Amino acid sequence: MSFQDQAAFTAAELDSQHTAELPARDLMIGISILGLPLVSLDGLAVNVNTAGPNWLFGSVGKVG
Amino acid sequence: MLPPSTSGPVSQSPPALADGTELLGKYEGSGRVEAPFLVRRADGRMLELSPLLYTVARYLDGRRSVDDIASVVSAETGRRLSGENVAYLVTEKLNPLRVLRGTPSTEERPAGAPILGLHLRFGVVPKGAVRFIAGLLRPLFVPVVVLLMLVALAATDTWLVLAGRVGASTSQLLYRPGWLLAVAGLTLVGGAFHELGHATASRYGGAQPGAIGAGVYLLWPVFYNDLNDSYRLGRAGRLRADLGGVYFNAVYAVMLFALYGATGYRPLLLVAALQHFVILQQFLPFVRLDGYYVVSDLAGVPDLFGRIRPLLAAVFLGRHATNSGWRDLRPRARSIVTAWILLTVPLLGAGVVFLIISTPHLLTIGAGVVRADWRLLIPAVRSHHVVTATLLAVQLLAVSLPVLGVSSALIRALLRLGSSADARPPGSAPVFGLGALIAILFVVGLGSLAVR
Repeated sequence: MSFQDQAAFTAAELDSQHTAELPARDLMIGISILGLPLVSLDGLAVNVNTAGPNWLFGSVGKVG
Repeated sequence: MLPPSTSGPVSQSPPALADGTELLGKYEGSGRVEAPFLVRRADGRMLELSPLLYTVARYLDGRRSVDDIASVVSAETGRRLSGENVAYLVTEKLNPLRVLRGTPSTEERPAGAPILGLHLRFGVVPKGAVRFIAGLLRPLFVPVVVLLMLVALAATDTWLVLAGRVGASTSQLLYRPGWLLAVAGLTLVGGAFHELGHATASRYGGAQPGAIGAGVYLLWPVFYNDLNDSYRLGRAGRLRADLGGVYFNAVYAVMLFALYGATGYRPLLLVAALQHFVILQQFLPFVRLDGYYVVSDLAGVPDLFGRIRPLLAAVFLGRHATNSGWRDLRPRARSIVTAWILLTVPLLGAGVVFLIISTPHLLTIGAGVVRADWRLLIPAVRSHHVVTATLLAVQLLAVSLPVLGVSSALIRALLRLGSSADARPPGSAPVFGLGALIAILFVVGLGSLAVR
């Protein structure tokens, strides 16, 4: 088949050519540390934060 | 007739790819109907191109004219392409991607980085060191070694459950600040080791991992590993890179258990047990933790969040025919992405509502902890109570970082609002609205604290 016999790309086809910048692949791990109790001593009371990344503030409270 | 040009011509000389640009071939395992091709830009970012654009890009060598390129591409594709067509593709499609010689520097990150993405990032281990260590650890991904490690983990778990030592260690932890500090330190090391797992799996598959760093994602401090280069791997290789982190958590647990056997130091057992919770958490697919990337690679869709709007429009508004975000996916990819969306949207929505409702309360509690810790920190430092002072400092940091994270996201949202609409990522209006709402509540919360 000669060059002239080939079907030409249409303007719509050219315009619809796909390009994209792929999102960054930064694989992450939370370091507010699931289940790690962070403790401060305050006399007889202990501040305990059983902080998980999803509940960081949710379980901050005083025990003891 | 070609569509009107939206940007000026690149130059009159034969077009060429910028130095450092790599053409990587087909994107293996893509969920798109027409599998795209991958290009690695000089700054390390990955781009996908349609087959025609990729074919044109292959001939951009700075010697061939647009007419020459048109001839070879026509012969290769079996479709007629004119020199004018090539000029159009180069100018309108490739030039905006900054892959052509003579286009502006690609050093800086693109303006479209998500507001609620990873930010406040800084490097911890440079990429050269990461690649060296990952090279040394590669044997850990030999299949027989993986099998042995998983068997060892199952055996240690069985012992931990039967012996019941973890519960006793946990109760003692509260009364031994030194142990607590050891647990915090070992857990941080475990986080870094997790990232090395991603890097090593990526290297094992043939990609080059980037630096390991730290930053804030949404509200939480995180370690991250730059795995952009793993796009070049096939689907199995990408999945191995995704799962390499949790596999290294398993290896870490086995190592800690062995160390406990040698030393009898109880905090080691506790950290080994904590690795299981870390692994479970990493499999959550709703935010960009490892589970998200597993779903993404199973579907072959790199940006699941970007598919939410088109797929909801297709499913609920019936906009299938005109919706390219829906039409261009294979049926299998559509099914996976749809299931992910139907789970993620309600769960994240509920999470955001909870966050909005509780923001003032959380800020009040956080401020109380900061005030209390600060009052204790100064005397602890003055009296040289190193362990207590370190613990207080760690807690202050843990409580402050989410506030810093929200503040940073707020500032970036405001800066972005001040920029032109063209600089914003498409479809970002709802995110800006949500960000503004959270920001208002955040400011109201801070204001109420100031009044008290």
